[in-house]
Amino acid sequence: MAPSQLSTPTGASQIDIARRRNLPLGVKDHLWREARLRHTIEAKVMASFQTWGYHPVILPMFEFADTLQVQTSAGGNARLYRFLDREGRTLVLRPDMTSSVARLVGTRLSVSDEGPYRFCYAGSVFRHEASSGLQYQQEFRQLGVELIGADTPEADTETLACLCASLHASGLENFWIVVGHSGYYNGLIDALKPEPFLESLLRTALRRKSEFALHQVLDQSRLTGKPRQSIENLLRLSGMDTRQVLERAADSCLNVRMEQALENLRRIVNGLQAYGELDHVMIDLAEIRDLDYYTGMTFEILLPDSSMLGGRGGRYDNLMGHFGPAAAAVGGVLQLDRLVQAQSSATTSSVKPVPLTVLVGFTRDAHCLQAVQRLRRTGIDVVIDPLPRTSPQLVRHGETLQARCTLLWTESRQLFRVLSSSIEGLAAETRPEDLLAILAQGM
Amino acid sequence: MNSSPPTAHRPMRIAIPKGRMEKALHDYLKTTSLTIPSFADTRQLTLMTPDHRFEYILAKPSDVPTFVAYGGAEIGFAGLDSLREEAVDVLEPFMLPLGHCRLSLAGPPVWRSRSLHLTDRLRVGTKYTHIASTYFMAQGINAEIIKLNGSVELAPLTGLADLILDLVESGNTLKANGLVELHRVMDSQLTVTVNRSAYRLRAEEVNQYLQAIRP
Repeated sequence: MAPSQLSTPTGASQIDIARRRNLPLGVKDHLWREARLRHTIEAKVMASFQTWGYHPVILPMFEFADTLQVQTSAGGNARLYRFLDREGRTLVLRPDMTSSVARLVGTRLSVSDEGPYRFCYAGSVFRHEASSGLQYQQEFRQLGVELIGADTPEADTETLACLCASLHASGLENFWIVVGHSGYYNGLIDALKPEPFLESLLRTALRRKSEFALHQVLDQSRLTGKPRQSIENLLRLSGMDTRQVLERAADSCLNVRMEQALENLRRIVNGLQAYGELDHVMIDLAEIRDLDYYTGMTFEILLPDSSMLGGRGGRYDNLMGHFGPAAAAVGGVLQLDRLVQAQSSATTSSVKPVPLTVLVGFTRDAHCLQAVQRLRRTGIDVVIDPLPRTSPQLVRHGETLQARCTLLWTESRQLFRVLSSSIEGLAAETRPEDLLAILAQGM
Repeated sequence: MNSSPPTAHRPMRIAIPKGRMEKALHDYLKTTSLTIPSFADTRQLTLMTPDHRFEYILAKPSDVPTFVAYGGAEIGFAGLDSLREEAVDVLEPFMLPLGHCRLSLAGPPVWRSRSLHLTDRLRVGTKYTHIASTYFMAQGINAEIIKLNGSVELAPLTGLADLILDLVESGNTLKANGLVELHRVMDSQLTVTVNRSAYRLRAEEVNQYLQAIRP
């Protein structure tokens, strides 16, 4: 583009303007109520994490590709946003936060001496999602926790219970956590040692819950007896009645690894019952996402009326070893977009202006400005109109801003004249200290 | 089997593919214990069952997977060809004994003796661009895929493409246009699809329905 075109914004052609107004696919603006709702939910969730002893960490938005490509639960490397630094080294916009937390702990802290560590975070992650994906999106805001240096089922339970508590804190009561365990499936594979193509077909069958594909596996593997039953049963090992599912699963165990996975889940179920969260829990032993990443318990969070996951996570004991001494780790994230969606669909559309408490007409008087400052210091939001207007215009502006009261400062008498108000007990003429008293009451 | 979490819901929505499969599917569903409304006498695209438990929607066959994936419908009936072409993340518990056909590579008879690997610039006309590019990539063939929306057989006749990738049922359409089937890419059949989250959140209703239509 010619420099002259850049330097004359007022002379921009319609085409220039149209191009500038574009937003890349997959990113979004958030404004007004929606932005406030996002802030509020994020603050509640982060505050809840901290009551469990999880300390916030703030992590860089991009890192070296070598760091973030080690192992990612976010899917293949093709989904990463890559770019170069001045030395020509490849950088990556973070596709998840877990790798960065693992890098931080592995390089700067000593898990064996001082662990376990608890960290929480809120931040955007970036991934190229296939354009055929649901709700094309490339920037995701995640709120998450990581517990590093504890390998017990009680650590798994803590992660799940902590996420449940933060979902409650955010105002959601309708959610379900589907818990699985990679050890159950991997144990089955250990025992049966299927041909690679059969294992791949089995994964497809479980992923699609396809009885047809499962029967293809059975027919081609020529399995008989208990091993055959164990595979046949896989698709039935899910449900809300967690204990019953675990009992059924116990009948299909072929080795110690499968039994250990079930014992791990039993302790998690008992723990979540003790926390009073069992009503939110389903078990699914055929849920096998990211088998190369997760090493134990895994989970997905479902929210009503949404086909998108509200969150996910699990145990990933192999990641820490890439950055320092090996250490057990478990964690999970909530998708802020989904939490906001679940709350705004439950009430009303969130793209609306946020109501204002007080609108004051144009003034330069120091007494008025000081009075307004006192209101703001008590947490009352006040806007002073920067444009001089007539009284009717000011009232209309107040309606636009959804102001609870619209006032005009009378300099000669040092009081507010009330032009319009929905606040009870507000006299037509109000002194600053009375206004403060009345508004403070309603807070 | 699974019991569902307790929440209030709208009726279960079931997506039916309009056109080729519509009547056969309707006849099949009528043999089950379910009440199936008929779209034949109406121009409406949605029909509620008298007991208000199910709402049937009539969608373009290739859109059924999308409706189910997005949660626009809890359950849908889609050909395996559309399902693989749309490549969406839905569950496929089982197939129905209906809509058997195959997706095949076809072209003029001279192509019987030609090697696709040695063809300089292979052009393939198809509705199934995703399946076609995946197929040729797996074969190591660098083919140019030309998207067409119907009457695909025209492509080799007009010189628009060398070959076509299309559904073959009896082979009569191919024959009438002087084309022959060269290679079968996949077999297709009507498949029951379920929305991933509905499968859990409305497990009881979904399972009851699946049980009723199971062949």
